[in-house]
Amino acid sequence: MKHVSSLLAVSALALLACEGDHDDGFVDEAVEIAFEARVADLPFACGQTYTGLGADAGSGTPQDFRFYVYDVRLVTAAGAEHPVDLDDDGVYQGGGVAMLDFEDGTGACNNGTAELHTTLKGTVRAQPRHGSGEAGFSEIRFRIGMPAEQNHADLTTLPAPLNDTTMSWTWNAGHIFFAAWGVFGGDAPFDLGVHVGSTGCTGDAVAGEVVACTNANRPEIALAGFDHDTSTIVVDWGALFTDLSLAAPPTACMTVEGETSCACHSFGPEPLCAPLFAPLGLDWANGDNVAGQSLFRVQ
Amino acid sequence: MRRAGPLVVALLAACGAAQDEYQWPLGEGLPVPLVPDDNPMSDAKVELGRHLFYDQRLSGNQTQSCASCHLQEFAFTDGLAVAEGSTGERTPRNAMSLANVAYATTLTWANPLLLDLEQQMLVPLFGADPVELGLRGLEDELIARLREVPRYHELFAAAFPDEADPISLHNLTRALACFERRLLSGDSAYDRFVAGEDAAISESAQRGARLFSGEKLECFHCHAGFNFQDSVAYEGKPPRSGLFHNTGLYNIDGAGAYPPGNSGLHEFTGVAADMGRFRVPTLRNIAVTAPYMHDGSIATLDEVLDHYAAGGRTIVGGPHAGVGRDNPYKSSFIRGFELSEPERADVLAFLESLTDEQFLSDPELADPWPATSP
Repeated sequence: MKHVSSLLAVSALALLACEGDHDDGFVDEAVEIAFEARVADLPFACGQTYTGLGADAGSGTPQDFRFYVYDVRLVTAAGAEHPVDLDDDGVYQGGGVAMLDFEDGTGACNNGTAELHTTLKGTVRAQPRHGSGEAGFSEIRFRIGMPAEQNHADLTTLPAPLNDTTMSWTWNAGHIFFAAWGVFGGDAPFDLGVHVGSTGCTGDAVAGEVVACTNANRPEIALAGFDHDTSTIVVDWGALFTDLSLAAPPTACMTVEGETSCACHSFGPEPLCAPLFAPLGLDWANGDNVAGQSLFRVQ
Repeated sequence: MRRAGPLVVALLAACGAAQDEYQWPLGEGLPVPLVPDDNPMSDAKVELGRHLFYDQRLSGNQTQSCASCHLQEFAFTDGLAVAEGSTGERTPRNAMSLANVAYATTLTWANPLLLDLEQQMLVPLFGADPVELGLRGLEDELIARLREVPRYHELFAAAFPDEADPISLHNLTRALACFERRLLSGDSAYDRFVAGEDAAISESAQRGARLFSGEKLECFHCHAGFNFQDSVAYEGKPPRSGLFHNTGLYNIDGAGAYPPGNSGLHEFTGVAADMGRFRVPTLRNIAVTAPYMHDGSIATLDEVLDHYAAGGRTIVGGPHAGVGRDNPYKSSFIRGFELSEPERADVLAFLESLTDEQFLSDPELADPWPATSP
């Protein structure tokens, strides 16, 4: 490639990006980013009962484990972010957003579906900075959820997977970004889990108004030591419940009109939200990201 | 821009695709409703929407339709304190009347986010907490069910004539919204009285109307205007932010608390002063929509007057005990009043004069399906 001024280079690169052909290996590259759900060191499986969960070594079996991912970036050792454009597959990936689905509809996941989606497929936008050494990819970053524009749009106009009614949050005019539930408590079983979505929202998106939410609740996950050719991202369902006692319904469960609810719906004064948000690296009080997410790790 | 009347018509006309002017059955006293830009009214959409509204295919287990909780004879509510969904779960609140829902600026009892029927109906259709129609995850099966009905092929094609494959969830919500906006009630005895028919309502009801609109009872501040509802929009009156009020129905902790899970606008905003604030329902057909209040906790209109006369309800004993009159977040219009027995009878006669018998029995709004399903 001829040496051109930086301004021209940007335009030229934009064109080249479409062709996927750069000199010296600087090509747009198809990537598959594999996720694997686990419970501590064991494979995650609906129907499986796990022990050693929570603060009191309780037992539990999964009910649901799905979440949306977007804004995926591979990062060079020098710190440059290269966006990954997610493929549209008409089912699990579309509109720049993917749903990762680890439940197979068996066992206590009986409200789910048999199909799984555990690998993101897309194209990483390579630029001349990317190569080996300092320019090689060594980290992955992504967000859980979806952009506000899609979050609040009319479900009936959105592409899959954004039109999945089981992840819609209709009365709050949005989507559930992240869902993880289980049945705990052994002989006296109780359901416990979390729905994460944006809250404190105002505005009418159907009319094209800007919807603003006081608590975005979109975790930004950054994982160092990630090689997209060889690494797998482990996501630990059990880690979500680390801070809770699970042998019996934790004291933070709420009893309303005689019914006990052990859940964080990201809404209202739910005492379970703070401990269930922390493993995602979210501050329940304001929906901002904080250090210390413990769900994701690189394998 | 969310909605527009004249401008949209002008734009459409300018494009040479003049919308056939929809003939709203407005009667004497109703203004022209606003509709979303992308869902203009048409008779064909209303007719499709009516078929969908009364169709039990629109529930997961095919036991309920929209009409199961919105019955025409009760002005499209259900006569229950709180509604029961298709799987037996109860909703936290009373099914609202759909009469004149086209004018509402917000929908449901206290949700400030649900501004369009197209969006709101996704809650009963797909909501899981609680399950109402129970279609969560069944959207493809729903469309497949509709495709098996020859009548729907005709109705969808007529309603969406420019589309090759019109049987879709998107079009279903559009048509249902058109039918709901067609649920107009403006032909009560009181309307005829206002229009000049002096003998349309009794003298007692006329005295009741004066009491209703007076500063002693203060009813008219919130139950304002043609729809006896303060938060309305129509052509010439664009929507503003929804209005919500605390009427002193509860005061559980002496600090204003409403029962958990039913705290009104506060549930959405978390703002203390929004505790117990709910939307004002229309009073049209109010005599047939008992029981009353967001949770159906008052059985009769007579007892509703007791609540307002006391300036807020006092509950003695039980988990909801408290003096609603002292709720710190109560609307300043709920001050209490003294009502003689004849005056009480007059106010009740006025409220009963708001019943629109034509609306409750109009065959154009009734179940279109033959008694033995199609």
